[in-house]
Amino acid sequence: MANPDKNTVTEVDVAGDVKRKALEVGVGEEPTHAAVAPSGRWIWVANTVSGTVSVIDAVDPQNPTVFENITVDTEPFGLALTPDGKFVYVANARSNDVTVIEAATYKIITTIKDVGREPRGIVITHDGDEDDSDEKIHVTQFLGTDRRNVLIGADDYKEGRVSVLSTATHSKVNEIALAPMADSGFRSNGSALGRIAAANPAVFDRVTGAFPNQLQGMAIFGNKIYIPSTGASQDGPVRFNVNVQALVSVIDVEKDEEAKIDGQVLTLNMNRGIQFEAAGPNKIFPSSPLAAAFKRSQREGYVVSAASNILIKLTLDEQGRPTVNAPAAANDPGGVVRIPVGQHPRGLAINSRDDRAYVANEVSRDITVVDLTRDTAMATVRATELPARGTDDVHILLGKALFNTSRGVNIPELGPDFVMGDWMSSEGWSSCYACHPHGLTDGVVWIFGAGPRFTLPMHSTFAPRDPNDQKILNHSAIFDEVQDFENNIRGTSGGVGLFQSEDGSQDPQLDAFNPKNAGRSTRFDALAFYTAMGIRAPISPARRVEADSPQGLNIAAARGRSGAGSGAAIPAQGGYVRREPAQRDPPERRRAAGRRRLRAYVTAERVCLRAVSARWLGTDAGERGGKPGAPFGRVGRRGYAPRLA
Amino acid sequence: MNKNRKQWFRAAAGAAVALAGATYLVGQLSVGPPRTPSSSPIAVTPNDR
Repeated sequence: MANPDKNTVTEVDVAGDVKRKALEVGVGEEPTHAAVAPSGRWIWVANTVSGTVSVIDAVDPQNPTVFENITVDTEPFGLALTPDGKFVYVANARSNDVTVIEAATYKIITTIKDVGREPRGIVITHDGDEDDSDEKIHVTQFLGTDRRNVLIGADDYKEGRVSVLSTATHSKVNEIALAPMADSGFRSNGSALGRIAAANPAVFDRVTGAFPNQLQGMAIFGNKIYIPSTGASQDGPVRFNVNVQALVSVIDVEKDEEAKIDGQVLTLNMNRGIQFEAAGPNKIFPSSPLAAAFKRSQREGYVVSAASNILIKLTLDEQGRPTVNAPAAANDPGGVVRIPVGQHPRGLAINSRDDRAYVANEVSRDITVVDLTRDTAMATVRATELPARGTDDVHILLGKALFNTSRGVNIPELGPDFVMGDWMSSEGWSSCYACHPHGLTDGVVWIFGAGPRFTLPMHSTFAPRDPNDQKILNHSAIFDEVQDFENNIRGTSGGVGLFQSEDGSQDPQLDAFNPKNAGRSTRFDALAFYTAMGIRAPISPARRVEADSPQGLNIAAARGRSGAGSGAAIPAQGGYVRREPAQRDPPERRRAAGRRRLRAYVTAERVCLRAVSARWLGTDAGERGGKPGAPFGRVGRRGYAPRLA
Repeated sequence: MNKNRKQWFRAAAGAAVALAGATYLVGQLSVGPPRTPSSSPIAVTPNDR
């Protein structure tokens, strides 16, 4: 198991159900995914911050050695070996490419460029023969892609994408679109985008859809790939039961397209039907599904719900259609199987006998061993030590636990603050992570009552390394403290929240500015501290590039930021323009160009802010001589955003 | 080779092919599809028995 907060990998003995931690090996910074070579001797680990892959030689399981660190590209995340173990493919989430390593020599033989937007998960097919040159590598693109001619903010304005690479040519050969789901099975009260006001009392009669977003792990069964995702359903009112869904899309490996039966895709909303379950502590929606795995011998698998701290069982029919056996209607008890695991599970592996699953819990830093013959957790193995009580590290860990959960926290060994009820959302519906994966952005424009809001990445909430230097919050500065988002836990996620009276009931006092909310809850203060200290900024793919190097100038030219009079332009095909050093402008001219660019940026920001305020804060651009009803800015390659009214 | 021996040979060959096919299918059903490598924060070695 990779321990991203400890920069280690833990090896656990599982043979004979021993379930004992064997040892812990130091690797690079923020190890996220690990893969074992078919021989079982080599363990490959992607170190996301270091930008490296560590190779561990476990020939002597009691004394493994990290003997190779291979520098790949920016933020390596998922990695997988071909079935014969000859090649390793590493998805670099920030440089949008895949590094191909020859396992025997540890040499990078090529980098497959332009794989897609934020590649994260990798799965490689295995047709059963010894020739792996005819296999396909599937790579998830984490964030959805805009669909042409669809209004931004509509429930179907994006689609999921999976890239297909070839093991023969080490190149991208296809890209599969995962279509939005037209009817999520949940109804909303009104539609912000449709300008249909919510009725009071509420009438839930508007069909909502959702598109696959936040695609990470995948699992193959037969000739199909199953891809869990967080479905974004962003047309408002943005609240519990109509904002995020838990989808599973299905790909036909042979046809390189979404699998269909009778012309219909097999996409499942795992939430659908759970609303009919009787209220109770077991009625939990599987929020933030990040990974899946199947048994080999049965059409059964499990999806990891990272926010709800459960595995949910997935069953396939003979045609490969997935179901969680949720109720079809009220009074139908259904047969959803949920297995409680640790705090913030992010992945699972099933053993070769199909009778055990091992679940990696990132926040509780342990492994849950699941008995698959009974579908129950049977043991927990500590993977790496927890921080000491009273330290900043434990405060950050509490905040991380809260940020990533749709329910509560349960790590009693860290003290009373780490034991609480399911207060973060209603029935495990959603967490902060649901829209801020990794503390960053889901890339979605949400349609709030006050207007469209692109999810802000949270790494810049505070100045780097200064938890006392915080910016104003939300798009229109309606909050001045992270703790003010108690309002969202209650209103958007339907949770009880963290501000409670002495008797444990919800404290009705809640105001963004008076009184201040910092200091009202140790837990919420920890969440704010995690926001300041625990959310890492994305790493720029240009971090290793010197500004004056030919490569740096290429990047500048491609982004249209080259010096004045340079003549640099972006070619139609989108490639970079190479400028030789001799063609560069003299330093004083480059500095002057820099000042001009800065002024242009400032002006653009002002224009943008004016337009936004005119459109969404009730002021009329026309009164100030502007163009009434002007669109508020360019959006993507489609040019001006369509008017929302 | 007389006609009867030819027929016997063909029948035997056919039966052998059918037996091999059935054995393969049973093997596939009992073992399931080949394990496929996928990326994950946690992995199990092949010798996990």
